Amino acid sequence: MIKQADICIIGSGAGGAPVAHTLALAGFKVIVLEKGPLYNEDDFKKDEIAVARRSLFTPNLKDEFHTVETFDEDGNIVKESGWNFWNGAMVGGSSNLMSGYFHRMKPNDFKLKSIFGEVEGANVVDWPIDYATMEPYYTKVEEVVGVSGKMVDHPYREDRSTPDYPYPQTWEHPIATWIDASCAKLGYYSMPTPRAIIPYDALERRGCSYSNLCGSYGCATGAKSHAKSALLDKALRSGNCEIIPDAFVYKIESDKESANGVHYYDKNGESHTIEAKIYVLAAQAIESSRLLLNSKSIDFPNGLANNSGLVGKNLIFSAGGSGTGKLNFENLPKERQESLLLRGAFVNRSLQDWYEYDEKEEHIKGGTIDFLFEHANAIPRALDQVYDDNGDLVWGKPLAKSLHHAFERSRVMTFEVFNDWMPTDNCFVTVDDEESDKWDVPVGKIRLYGHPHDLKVGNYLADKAVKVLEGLGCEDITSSISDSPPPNLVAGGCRFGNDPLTSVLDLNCKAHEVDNLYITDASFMPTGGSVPYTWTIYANAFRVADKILEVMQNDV
Amino acid sequence: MINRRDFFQYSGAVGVAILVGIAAKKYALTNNASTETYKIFDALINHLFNDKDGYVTSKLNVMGYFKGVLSDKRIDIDDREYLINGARWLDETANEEFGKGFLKLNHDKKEQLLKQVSMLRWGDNWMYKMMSYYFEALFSDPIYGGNVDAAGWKWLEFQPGFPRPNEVAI
Repeated sequence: MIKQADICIIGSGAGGAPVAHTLALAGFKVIVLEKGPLYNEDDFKKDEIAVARRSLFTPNLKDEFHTVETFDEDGNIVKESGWNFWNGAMVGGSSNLMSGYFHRMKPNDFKLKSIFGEVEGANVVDWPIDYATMEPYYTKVEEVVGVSGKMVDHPYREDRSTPDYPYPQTWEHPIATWIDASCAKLGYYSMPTPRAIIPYDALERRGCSYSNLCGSYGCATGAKSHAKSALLDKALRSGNCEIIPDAFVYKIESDKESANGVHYYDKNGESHTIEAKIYVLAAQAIESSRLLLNSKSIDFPNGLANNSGLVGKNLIFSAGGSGTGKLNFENLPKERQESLLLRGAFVNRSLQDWYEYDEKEEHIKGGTIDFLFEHANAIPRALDQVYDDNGDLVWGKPLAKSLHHAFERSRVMTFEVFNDWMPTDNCFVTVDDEESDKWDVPVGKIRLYGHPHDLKVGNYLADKAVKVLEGLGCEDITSSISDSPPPNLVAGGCRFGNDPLTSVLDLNCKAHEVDNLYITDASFMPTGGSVPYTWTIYANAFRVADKILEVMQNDV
Repeated sequence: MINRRDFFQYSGAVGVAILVGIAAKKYALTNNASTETYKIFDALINHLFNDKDGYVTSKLNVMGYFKGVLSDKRIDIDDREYLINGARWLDETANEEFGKGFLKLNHDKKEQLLKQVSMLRWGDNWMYKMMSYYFEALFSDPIYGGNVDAAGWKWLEFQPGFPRPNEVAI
């Protein structure tokens, strides 16, 4: 049976949901196809075994996987397996599992090439739109999706159309003030981290319950501003939106100029078709490129929208890394020990002092540092204790002593560094002609390469973060900046731009080569900014949704 | 509106305890491990994490939990078989080194053997995996059959997140 809709959206996360919300509330018939199952808030339990140890929310890697190519020390390409690039296959996508550290991109992020110049071996370009174009949509996300925070002055504070966030900060742990003091001594501008979490009941959702298990877990109250609770539930209530879960899209049909049908398998392996006036692809960067490349036709022999050969190119991640420092109770005043036992409250502190910096007469794009507690999952914290300083396994009394100290007499602070991942010719997605998934569809093949510039910037920022941890009294401080990609922070592959010879999408994120195909996940991003992507994905998807709405209204 | 305190009360342990027996049966299904394998698992776990050294292992139903692990289809079959093979390799190594199986070694000989095995690549990997699943038994919600009456959480003053699971989700 063929179903008809005005708009068919492939993917229900932060890229797809704003389009569904905008168009359904405007009265157009929307169908959303989601590969994963539907979970409601009642389904989200703090179950470390199911969520963290058995990866309940991502596909089994024997059924669905990616092949990965990396470079060895001699520059030879090495094919690897076992990488997990899935992020949350369910209605609402990986936004269900985010921690919700929300930062806007800065004005200079939109013109990286003009401001900072070329980086040898990298394909840096300016965006075809500027911050002023995106600003109203960042604000819309704050108000409609829900962002909490508190604006303070700092050197790289971006312009805003509203004075402050619509929701006040979430409940803060006392350590936030200790970080402020440590930063003040160093001359750093500590700032509250904006969060995609609402602190009290609002937007037809419940406020945060401060469960102590947020990132990687689904939200049981709907306080986390994920795509389902914030947008899709409202789209459903309009009566104009249908969400079809467990629907794996394997091909988009097309003729010379237009997409004209989407085929998907349901969980029983039966094929179905949706026909629509407009198609929106938002399956996350890697899978969106894979679907286009697998959607070959007479008119698009290299994959849909890929007569330019650019689909899948310039894949980027968030560069940077993380570090830790331990606060040992025996070296702290009693009141601080008691404070550190408090669970559930958020640290909510960031630094953007070095979003741009000068070094050796060079003006360099820097990035963001976020501070947080070590994740509350117990099992990895216990496993951190099983090796001694020589790397030998320990057990018995010594391990029991370490476990008690780790869980009862210390707390680990963590920092995360976010900086630009240089887009290059060596980091991209294709499809693997030799490997197929459980549906017998060729899997995505990912070539990974991190530019040395990314490591240089990441280490510069990490050194600053380490100083803050030292000021806090942390011991055993570690710092790990690497070119290993974070699978949950992926973008690019279908750049937007004005020139069809150098970009897949136009400035409205419509495919240059296809009249009625838009891409609204992070694929459009030519560079990623030095912040987590989700806020920008939401904002851009709202921007594109307005363009699609114009097209639909003119069509009527 | 549910405020934070109400939410904790609403989601607390009262309703969960009733389901423990049913859920534990569901997680622990039949599997290929022999009685001998479980005896070696049990002896190993009780050597590494003995109550005399301060642990609460005897309260955790670790072997009941391991039965669940060995029948858990979310764990790759190769990994499950690796656990079973490791027990066999440990026993073989005990026979080679001391002329008798692991179960028949006294405490000091077990310690000596495990120190030796942990320096080998397979031994380090296998013991780390066994310790990982022990920690699962220690920290998992009691519905999985381990951590009986939250004995593991109490031992390390660990506070679980809420809402807790009310059924085995895997």
